[in-house]
Amino acid sequence: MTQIRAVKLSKQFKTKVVLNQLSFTLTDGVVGLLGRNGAGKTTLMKIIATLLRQSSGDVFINDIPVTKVKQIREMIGYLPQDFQFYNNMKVNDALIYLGLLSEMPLAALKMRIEILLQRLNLEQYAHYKIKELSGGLKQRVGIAQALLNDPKVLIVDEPTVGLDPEERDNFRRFIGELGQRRIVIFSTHIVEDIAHISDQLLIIDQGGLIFQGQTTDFSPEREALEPKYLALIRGDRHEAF
Amino acid sequence: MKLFKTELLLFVKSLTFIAFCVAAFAFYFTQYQGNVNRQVAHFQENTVYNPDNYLMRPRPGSNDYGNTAQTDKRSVMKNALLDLQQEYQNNTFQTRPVMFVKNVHLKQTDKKKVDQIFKHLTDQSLTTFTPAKANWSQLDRQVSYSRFKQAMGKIDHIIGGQSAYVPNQLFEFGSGKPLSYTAAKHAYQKKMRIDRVSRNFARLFSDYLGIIMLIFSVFPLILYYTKAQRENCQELLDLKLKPTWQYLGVKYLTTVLVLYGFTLLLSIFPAIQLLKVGRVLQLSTDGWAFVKATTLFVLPTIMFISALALVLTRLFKPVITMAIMVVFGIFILSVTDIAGVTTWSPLMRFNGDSNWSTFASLKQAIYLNRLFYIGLTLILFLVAVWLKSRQRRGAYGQH
Repeated sequence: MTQIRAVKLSKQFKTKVVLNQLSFTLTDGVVGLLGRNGAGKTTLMKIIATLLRQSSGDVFINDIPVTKVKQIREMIGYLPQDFQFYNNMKVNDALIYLGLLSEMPLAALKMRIEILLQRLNLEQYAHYKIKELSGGLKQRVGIAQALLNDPKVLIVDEPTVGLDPEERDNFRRFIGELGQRRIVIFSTHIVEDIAHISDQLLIIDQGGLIFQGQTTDFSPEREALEPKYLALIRGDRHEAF
Repeated sequence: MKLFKTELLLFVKSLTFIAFCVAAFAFYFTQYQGNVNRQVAHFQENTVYNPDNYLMRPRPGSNDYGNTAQTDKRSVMKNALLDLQQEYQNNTFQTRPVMFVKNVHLKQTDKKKVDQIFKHLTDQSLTTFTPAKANWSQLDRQVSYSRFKQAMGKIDHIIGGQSAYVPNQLFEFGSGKPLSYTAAKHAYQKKMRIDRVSRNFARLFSDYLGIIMLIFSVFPLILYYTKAQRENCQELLDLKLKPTWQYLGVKYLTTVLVLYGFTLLLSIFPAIQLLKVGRVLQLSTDGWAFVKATTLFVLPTIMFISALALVLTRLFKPVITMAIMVVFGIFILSVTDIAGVTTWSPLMRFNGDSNWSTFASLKQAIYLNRLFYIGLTLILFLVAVWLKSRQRRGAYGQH
């Protein structure tokens, strides 16, 4: 069982407060991180992923503070918004390269890549160059690289942007599967993306946490999630709950 | 090894590196190999003796055996003063800051200072000085050469630097005495004994390759070091576990080995060419001359330039880094003596046939210089690692 715990987490860029005293606890399963554009979702994920330092407060993964960069990075997989990689590199080579940078032994890495390519239906694209892939395939490669080290925490930042409806649906289902044995933080501003797969919800607005809990507590009916969320961020708490 | 191989392919398969190779080869071929080819061809044709051909053995009966090295201090002093008088009268002093010609016009006060210095040397004023009446034969008895050099240095300073009166370049004013057949034969035997046919060419080769590395290599280096940033995947790579010194170390090693390998590759052809010439001349030829010269003169330059690019790309955007490094390269090129090693410069220059004497007289300083730049390289690398580690840990706010 993995746990992420944030205690009074704040982040400030010069005078702008991006995250303000966030405290929450997350456990295994898909966590829908919802919020408008500019709400602070990416900043929060980057702090958890050790790509940014918090201004104050703490975040722990399994009681290890995120300031212990090496230990935290061993536990996380990260798919940035709009996954890009060296365009002329072949999929297989890119995964080997990224795996080697993750300090994985070559033999084990090759086996892991084979399994991941199979699971993600990417086998036939292994020798394609990254630039030859569609948006959906590229995202799948992005997920494959994030899963190379079999992470306890998977962080995916707006992964469905630019995907066609079918690709989006496939992608969401796959993320749902991944959430069965790890924490998957799925950041999005599109409620539909997480409506059917998220177990927990984190909703932030203007840097503040406005909801944290089980998705079913927020909206017992999955179909009602979107209107409730919209009501909440518009400030109508009565309608939301 | 696998990681190194991937980095190697990333570097050598880039368009910029290919363009660098083409440009470097064109520069090398037109500036260096053409000259070697001409000398070898002329030597093989076995026609009339040409003293300018480094490889040709002097033969009796020639009209011209060349001149002695330009060390006649009296003629250096005379010619320098004559030039100074000419420039003073026109009040147009030619300088070459950063390789470009610039005409400097002095204010009256500065002209007076120049005149004062001239007076100290010759007891005459530049305004009334008549060359025909000057007692040139007494000049070097009146003023020591070191005092003369000092005085010329002051004049150079007044003009603004990089004039013809830079003390270390004054020898260019000299004119040698004609050589006899016997003297030319001895000089030839001496240079062939010391330089073993190929060493002079090897030093000249490293002179050209040093320039290529100082200026041309900047482009593939910077674009390679910033490739991840330009292809929007830096963040992803930064998250990986590989320690920063290893991550940057592999990249750095790749660039140094590739550029060094490229230099060695270019040296194969002239090295073989000169081995053949040595066989024809029945002289012992240094088959490793190019490897040695490249390792001593070019490799530390490559190491330094690569490390500098590594640091600057951590601090600035690629275009700004390129601009800084190109200006730096041109500046270094312009202030480094063409055939007389500038001991502090990252660039070693041996442009000229008499480059053995340059090398021999400054051997220790050259070794020190190379060691200094290797040391500096290590410091720069550590700085790059420090900057990158901070960046990887999100020390700079917005990633």
